[in-house]
Amino acid sequence: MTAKQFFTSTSFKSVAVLLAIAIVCVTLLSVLNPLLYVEVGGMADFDGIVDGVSFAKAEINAEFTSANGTLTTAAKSTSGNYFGYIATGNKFGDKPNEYTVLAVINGDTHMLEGIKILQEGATSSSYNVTDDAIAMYKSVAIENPNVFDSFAFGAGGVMAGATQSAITFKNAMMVIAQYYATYELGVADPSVEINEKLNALEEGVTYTKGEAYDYEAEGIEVLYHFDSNVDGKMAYVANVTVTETFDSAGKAVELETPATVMVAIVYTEEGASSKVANAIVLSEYTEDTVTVAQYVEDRVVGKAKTAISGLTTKKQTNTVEKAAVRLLALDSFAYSQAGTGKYFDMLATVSDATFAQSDATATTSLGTVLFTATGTDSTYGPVAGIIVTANSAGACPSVTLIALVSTATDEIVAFGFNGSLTSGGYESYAPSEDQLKEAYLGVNVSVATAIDGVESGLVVTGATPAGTETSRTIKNAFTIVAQVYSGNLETLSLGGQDIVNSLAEGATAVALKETSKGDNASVIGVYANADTTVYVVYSLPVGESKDASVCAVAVEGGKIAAVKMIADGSTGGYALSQETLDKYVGTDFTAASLATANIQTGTTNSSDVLHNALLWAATYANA
Amino acid sequence: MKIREIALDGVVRQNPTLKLVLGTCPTLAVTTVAFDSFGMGLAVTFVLICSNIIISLLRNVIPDKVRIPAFIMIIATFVTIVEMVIKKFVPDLYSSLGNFLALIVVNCIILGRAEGFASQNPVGYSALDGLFMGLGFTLALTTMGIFREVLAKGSIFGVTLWDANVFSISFFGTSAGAFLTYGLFIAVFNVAYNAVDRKSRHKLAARLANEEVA
Repeated sequence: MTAKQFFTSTSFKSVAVLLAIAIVCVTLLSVLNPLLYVEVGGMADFDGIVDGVSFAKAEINAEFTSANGTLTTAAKSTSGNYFGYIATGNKFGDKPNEYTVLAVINGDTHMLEGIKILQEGATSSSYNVTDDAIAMYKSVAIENPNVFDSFAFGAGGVMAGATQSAITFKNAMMVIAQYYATYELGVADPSVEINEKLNALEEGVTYTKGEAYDYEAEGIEVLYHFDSNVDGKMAYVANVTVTETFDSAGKAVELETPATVMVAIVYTEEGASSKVANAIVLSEYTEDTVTVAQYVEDRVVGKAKTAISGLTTKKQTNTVEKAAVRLLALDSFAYSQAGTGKYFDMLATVSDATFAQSDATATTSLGTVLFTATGTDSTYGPVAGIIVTANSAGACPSVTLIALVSTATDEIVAFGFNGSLTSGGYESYAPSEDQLKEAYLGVNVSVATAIDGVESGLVVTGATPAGTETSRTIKNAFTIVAQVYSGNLETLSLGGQDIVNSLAEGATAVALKETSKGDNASVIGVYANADTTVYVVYSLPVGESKDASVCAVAVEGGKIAAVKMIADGSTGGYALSQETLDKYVGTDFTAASLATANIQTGTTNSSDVLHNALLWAATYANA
Repeated sequence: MKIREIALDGVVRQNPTLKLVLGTCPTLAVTTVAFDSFGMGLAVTFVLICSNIIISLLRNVIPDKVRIPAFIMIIATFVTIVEMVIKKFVPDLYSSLGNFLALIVVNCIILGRAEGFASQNPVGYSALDGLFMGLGFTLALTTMGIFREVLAKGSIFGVTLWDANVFSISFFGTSAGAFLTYGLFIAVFNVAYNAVDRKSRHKLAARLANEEVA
């Protein structure tokens, strides 16, 4: 091909034309770009926020970044006393973006006169910040850096149902408030320094100041609450007033002058309980002789909250420790949204009911006892207040029940729940209030098995597994209440004690190991005499089997000696016969042996429930 | 070719939205309110006119082999310009239209007119084709936007007609409502169009018959 042929070929022409068009297009856009380009977060964004007010860019002091986000632009009005800011709030949870927010503050009134969202952080528009939420921010004068800390989320808060978006947006607003208060009003935020100290505790763990705490009682004033980027890890900061210390013999000695110690405690939630992961003494207090680091290492870190509270009765060595221990002992912290008294007040018909909290935290096979209290209600008279969390009996969430029991009649006189009973689309299967009242109000809980007689089917609105799981979980919660109130947490409920006795005469209860709960089944009781050990196992439903089952398996010499059902959750007609159960007799009581010994009786779901129970019992026993 | 024919084709006979069912994505997505619909319509009209003019001017220069990439480059340039203009001067509309503004570049109407009309006709006619096709698209979108906004929000172009809490059919603000509205509009438009078309054919036939008799 000659040069002439090449330059006149269609291919060359095509490429040349495309190139020419591309060059012209790019040139045109390059020319227009400076004229039309709009910088995000630029001064143009301030136009029209407040009528008739224009802004000029201002210097940002020290590239302001706080734990909540970063201030990217500051502006000052060219007429009138207005301040404009653009801030980016940190992401929280699953949000795809930070929120970038522009806000204009009236320098005379300190009120927000305009808020413009430059970048939404929500995962979908249904979670966007609402006009009502913005109105709440605009209703508060920014006179200190913590002004937005008290903004709550959820019902009545700035954005119900969209907590992560709400927090992400709030972060941006907090940055603006912090900057304005610090540099325009000269009001410093002490929490910023505390935040930095918390962030320095552990690499990769950063804390964000959360909702403010309006809590002050028993010499403890909670100042701040911090969430972290690690699930379940949080910190509380409080001033603790200490009036006494201990001498070297462990004897309490009153201080001449009460001391106030500021303490930050980092908690890690582990299921229903929480542990202390770290602690810092923030105020200077020089009286103690034990270093904080040693105190943290020896006394606090890793201990369960209840164990810490137990330390108050033991030999104490210094004032700082006592301050921290008192802080930890206050259960209201970990169950933080409100004090326990507030929970019980929810149930009291007359507000002058009083409650005195006592230690009763315990874990049972069905759940956890959080608090017990006694008090006097002007309607019910002397009552016991009990708060328990029942483990989920299936796919539904666990349930926290607050119950009042009349100590005169031993009957449940009032109850309520903290949080919703169901979630994940199964809300319609929650029992109604009327159904629950009909089933549980007035039940005499003087014996631990009092709730056994309540059919979980009575309190179900839908005949679906989701409904029955919810009602079973609720029933478990009431069962724990009965066990607590009757003073016998170890009593085998569900009428199984007779069956256990028939399998092992004179057997006594053996303490459960911590690993009693498996995926499909839980060992809820172990009883043993000289020859026989009986495992009582709670096993979740499989497939269409209606309810959970509870069975007892007796083991002698490493082999199954007997299997009996205490409560069969099978649907009608499919209950396992004793003859079927006996097929397991003689099988080695090991997981390996039982894994292949599933008896298939034609009622697969029911036999699988039993099989799961035995398999887990063997796993538990040999662990 | 008569201007009247081009106008009738663009607005009625080949209405891109209601007859050719092109550009359905923005039609369904942005017609929740009349203002956004009108804005999208104008944006598409601008791109249609400009791209038709340029493509018509270059129709004898652009080799057949590379005409589609060339068209797309030209269309993309005008889409970028219209996007920048709206972002600068009507930021609320820019936020509302979101990605659909940028997606004009792949709107079938524009590439279809470039390929089917502008690349084969003189500049004047091509510009008019872009104008009337754009008008047809704008009219259809705006009417749908008005219909949905009135029913779902009780307002028109943002002006409240009545309290939506008292009466509104929020369904028409949803995606499913968009499909239903679109279906209804296509049905009504075609019924009306066919009726008029039939009538004019009868008139024509009668006139021809009269002429024959005469």
